[in-house]
Amino acid sequence: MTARRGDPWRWAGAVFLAVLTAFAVLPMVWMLLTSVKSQFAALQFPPEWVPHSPTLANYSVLLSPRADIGRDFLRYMLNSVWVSCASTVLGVAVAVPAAYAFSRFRFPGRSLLFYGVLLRNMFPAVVFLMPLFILMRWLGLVDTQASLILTYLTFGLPLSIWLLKGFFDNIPIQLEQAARIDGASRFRAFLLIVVPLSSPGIIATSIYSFILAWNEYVYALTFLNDKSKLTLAVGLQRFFTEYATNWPGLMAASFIMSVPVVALFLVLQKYFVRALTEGAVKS
Amino acid sequence: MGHPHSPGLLRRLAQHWADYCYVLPAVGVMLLVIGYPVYFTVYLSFFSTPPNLALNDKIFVGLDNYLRILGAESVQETTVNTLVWTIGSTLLSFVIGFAAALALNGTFPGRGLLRGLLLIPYVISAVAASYVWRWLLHSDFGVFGAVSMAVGATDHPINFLDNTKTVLPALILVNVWKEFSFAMIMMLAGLQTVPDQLLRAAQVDGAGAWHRFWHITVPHLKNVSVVTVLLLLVANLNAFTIPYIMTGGGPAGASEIWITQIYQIAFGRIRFGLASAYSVILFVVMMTLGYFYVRALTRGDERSAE
Repeated sequence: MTARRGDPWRWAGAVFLAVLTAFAVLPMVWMLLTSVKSQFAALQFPPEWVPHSPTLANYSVLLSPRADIGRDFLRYMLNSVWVSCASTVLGVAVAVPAAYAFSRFRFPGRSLLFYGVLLRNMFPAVVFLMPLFILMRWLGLVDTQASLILTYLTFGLPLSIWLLKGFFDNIPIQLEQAARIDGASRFRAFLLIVVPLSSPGIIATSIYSFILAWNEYVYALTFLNDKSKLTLAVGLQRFFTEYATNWPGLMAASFIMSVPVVALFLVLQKYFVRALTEGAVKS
Repeated sequence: MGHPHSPGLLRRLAQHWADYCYVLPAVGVMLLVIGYPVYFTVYLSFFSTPPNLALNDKIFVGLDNYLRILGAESVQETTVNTLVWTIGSTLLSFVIGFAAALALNGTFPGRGLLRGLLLIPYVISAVAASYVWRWLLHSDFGVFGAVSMAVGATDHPINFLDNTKTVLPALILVNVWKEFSFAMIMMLAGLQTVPDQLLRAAQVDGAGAWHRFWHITVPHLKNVSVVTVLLLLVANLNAFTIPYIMTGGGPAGASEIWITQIYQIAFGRIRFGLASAYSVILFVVMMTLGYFYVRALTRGDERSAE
């Protein structure tokens, strides 16, 4: 439609997009360029715009299990993978039947429950931080990854229910009705027809939930103390304070942390975009 | 929905018992990790808690915590910062995102790639983003300092993050960088619902580009705009990572916002009661926004549920 708005608009749009893309991408480029510099090359003013002698040393230190830094870093990465996967699987497993019920059934209290799910998006994380901290202390889970897996459900679960409901809404109910006529129970129809048909939606939801957990910071900052249990998000901070001026190392670590998220996103961009906008747009 | 207030609610509950089995696990988890915390925050807000968090020793203080929060001068300064931060970030992100959506709407080669590139800041972690921007804005070796010197704006690198005047705009810049593409994606999805025939018909009738935009496109985007702005407002009010990592509220509280201040009171000074009262106030603000959000979002849902 923009294209049809005549040439001056199109040109203005193109220029604007070019500037905006530079704004979005250049900080990432600078992160990458800094990460292949030596400490000495990074601390130059004016900066070395193009590294004179690029090096992968920062990466090999971070990813080598023999060095101290590398050991810690790899541990953080494993911790992040474990916490993100576990909370995603748990959240989606609980969300699938709930979202299906919200999509298909009309039971007393449905709207109330569903508004509760929606409103959760509005709760400030700090409202949960203190009571959950006390709860975790009481359960003896402070400084364990179980505390994170559990608390990540505070955002992962409502989000998953909301997204999955959108996907279920788009599956024609006639398919289930046909299965019911053929004698399948309602639960079997759900399990054998609806779940397989909505697997793209389930995958998209899982990835969204995984990315949120992978990037989560404030709970991990508050609940974890033990050096060996940190996730990447808080682990980076530790590198930063210990090697206060090691900017190339920090940029390399930030880059490694961003790679899985960006890769997942680029591969599944279509689903991700759909997940983001699900529900907000009704034609 | 059927008849929410019809007699025989118990019978209807019994009829639907199987439905509840589907939602039961989710409700159980939500009661534990959402319901209980909300209740407990409100409860704690009426108490003074000891610094060792031995909750048996807490003292009931009534509304004292609320009065102290509402009366504190530092809270008033933080409120101004919070308003600037929230409204500034939201408006800028929305306007830039909307403009980007308009420019991206249509088909041209490389559109998918461009959209992907623009979305990268939104998907990477706020932690990584904060460190990158701290490095870009570094007082001695930062790119921004070098560029401002190269173009002759200053004769020495500027310390953006350590200056009470520039720190909040700098943080807003980072935040807008991080979230404008969220607005873009939402508005892009909204633009897809604008009926093409209508635009074409208007063009046939001789309506100019601006007219078509203003009288057809904009009215169609009302609902999605409301949802987008509300989500941005809430996200910005809830923002913690960028201010916390980049400045920790400094210098001299110039970038302190509600969330970072609550965190400081709770986990810096270990005053859970006071911080809870503060959270409850914030919570009420959020719920007000939440009311409008749910209303905008469920418009049409109840109709389709009939």
